[in-house]
Amino acid sequence: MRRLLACLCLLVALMPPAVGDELRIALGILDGTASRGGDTGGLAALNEDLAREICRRVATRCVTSNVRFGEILPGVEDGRFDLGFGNFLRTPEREQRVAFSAALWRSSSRLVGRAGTIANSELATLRRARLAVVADTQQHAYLQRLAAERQLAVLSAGTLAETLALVGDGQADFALLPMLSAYAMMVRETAGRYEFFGRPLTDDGLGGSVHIALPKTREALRQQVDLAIAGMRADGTYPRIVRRHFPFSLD
Amino acid sequence: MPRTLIRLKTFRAGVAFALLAAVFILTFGIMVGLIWADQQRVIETAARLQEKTVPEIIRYQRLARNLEQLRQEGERVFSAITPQARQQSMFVVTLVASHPSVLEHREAAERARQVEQFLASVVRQSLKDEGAFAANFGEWQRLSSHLGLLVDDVSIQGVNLTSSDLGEVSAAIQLARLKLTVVMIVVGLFLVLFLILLRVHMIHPLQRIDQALSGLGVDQPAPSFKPAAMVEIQAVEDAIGKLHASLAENEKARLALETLANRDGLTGLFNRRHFMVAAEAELHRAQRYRRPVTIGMADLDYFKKLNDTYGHAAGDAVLRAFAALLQEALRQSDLVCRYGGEEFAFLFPEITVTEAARLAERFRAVCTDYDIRLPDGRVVRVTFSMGLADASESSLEAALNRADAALYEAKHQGRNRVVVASGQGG
Repeated sequence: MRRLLACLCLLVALMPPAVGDELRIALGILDGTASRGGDTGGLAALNEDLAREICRRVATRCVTSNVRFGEILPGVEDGRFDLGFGNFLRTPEREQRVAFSAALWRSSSRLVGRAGTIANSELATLRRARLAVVADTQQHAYLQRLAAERQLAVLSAGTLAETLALVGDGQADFALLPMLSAYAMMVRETAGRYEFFGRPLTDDGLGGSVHIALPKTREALRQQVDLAIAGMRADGTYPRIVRRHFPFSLD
Repeated sequence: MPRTLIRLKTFRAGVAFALLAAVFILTFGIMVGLIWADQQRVIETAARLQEKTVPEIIRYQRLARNLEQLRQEGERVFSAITPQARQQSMFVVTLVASHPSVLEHREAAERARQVEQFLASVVRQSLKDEGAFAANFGEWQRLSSHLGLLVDDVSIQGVNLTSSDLGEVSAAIQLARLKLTVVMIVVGLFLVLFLILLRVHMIHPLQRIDQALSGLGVDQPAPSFKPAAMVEIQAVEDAIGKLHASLAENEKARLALETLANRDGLTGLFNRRHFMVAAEAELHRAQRYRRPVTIGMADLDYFKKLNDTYGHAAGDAVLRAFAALLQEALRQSDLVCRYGGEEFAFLFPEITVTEAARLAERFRAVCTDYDIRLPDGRVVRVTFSMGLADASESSLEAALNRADAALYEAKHQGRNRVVVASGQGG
């Protein structure tokens, strides 16, 4: 009997953790205030609402933390967070570190600059320019690959607001930002201060589907999250949440 | 019979059935395989419809919706009252034009890019010239109209995606239905062929066998059959032939046994037991229909002396010769038996005792002059004495007694004569 109990205890100890009492969720912040987005809610608010809806559907409690983008993946990777909402594009490099949920929405990247900058500026032809970017993002990695050849000065910042501030302060000519995040910040700014430039970019990891990051060991959780996302899409909850924060479809 | 049937008959039935079964299984298998392939095609197309086409249709619908939103936001850029609202709309235009759903459709991407650049240009102009919106409104209407047409085109493209898949499903189902019809026809043809073979090789032979068995008898010739194609039918036909032969042998044995049971072994005449049974039946018949009938008893004269003189073999030869003479001389309907030793009993149906006396007298005259050759070559003649009695109104036993009494009287009167018993007796 003692041996049986010992075996059962060992089995329980070795079992991968399923969804527990609470889910520790990392929400990426756009600025340093760790507050929900602008008047319309914005991207951070959208992520928070999506996270809470997913928690409701997997019948557990959410514990959210607002962190900088660069802290999300390491936190998910070492198990400090169960879900990471950082508007992550799915890349082979990231897939080696974390697991990804089903796609939430799709996005592209684009140059943002001060209004009045040369209208036909294109990243493909840009040389000897100063470019701001959020640290540890796909945009950051992409610009670092181009920097030497194009003689580009890449300035990285911790948050999107800081990145945009570099452009606004004149320290950078342009910022290369994910469209949705950029939009969420730019609508707060004074009209006519910033503009988008050039063509939208989807190649080289700059565009595609956006996912939630999960620890690679939480396969059961990933399946539950995917089911929750599919359920949200099927019953119309997902588009209703998006409409609360953005005046257009993200699919 | 059709030529086909004649040709089929030349086949061994087992080979024909096996060949039919093999061709049927092969054909049916191929047809089932083809139908299975069609069904698989339907399943795959339906799966593709569900997994690829429907999401693709949804993608087109989203694209159409995004393009329509692009157009509406463009209208808002023109109609916005505040710079903030204009910027908001301009950002949405940019976002929609930058969205992957728009970018992955070449024509939509180009059109969206064109619209975004135009609107951005007008917004920039408006910073310097307040009449920029009015000046460019005509161009915007043209772009907006093109965008509206593109929305319609994209919607139709999405809807048309189903046509190809549904057409393929419909074609596959129709083909499967055609094949199923062919299968049913093939099965029907095989069934007809099977029934023909069954009729030729099973039903007809069985009917012939039934006919042969119904008419099977010892008085009928052995049935003959045309060579059957099936080994089993051949075996049954052979068995019928053997059965007929066995019946004939049994009849032969029965007749031999009957002879042994009813005939006297020496003379071949009926024995006393059979005579009594047959005479009783005949007597009853005659008395029932009031017909005349006469009973007689005869005894060879001096037979003991003949035996003593010539030996028992000669006595036997004399008995045989006398019996043969009796069978020749008497009518077919007359019954005669060896009653015992040299004594014989008679029943003469349909004649009165007087007529019987005349018949007996004639026979006595023939017998008296008849030479009997003995085994040692010598020739002897024998006479007999006979008593007759009318049996038309008496029992057999009584009639025999009276005939026997008349015989005694004939012996007493000097032998070699026929004496009729007087009266009827009781």
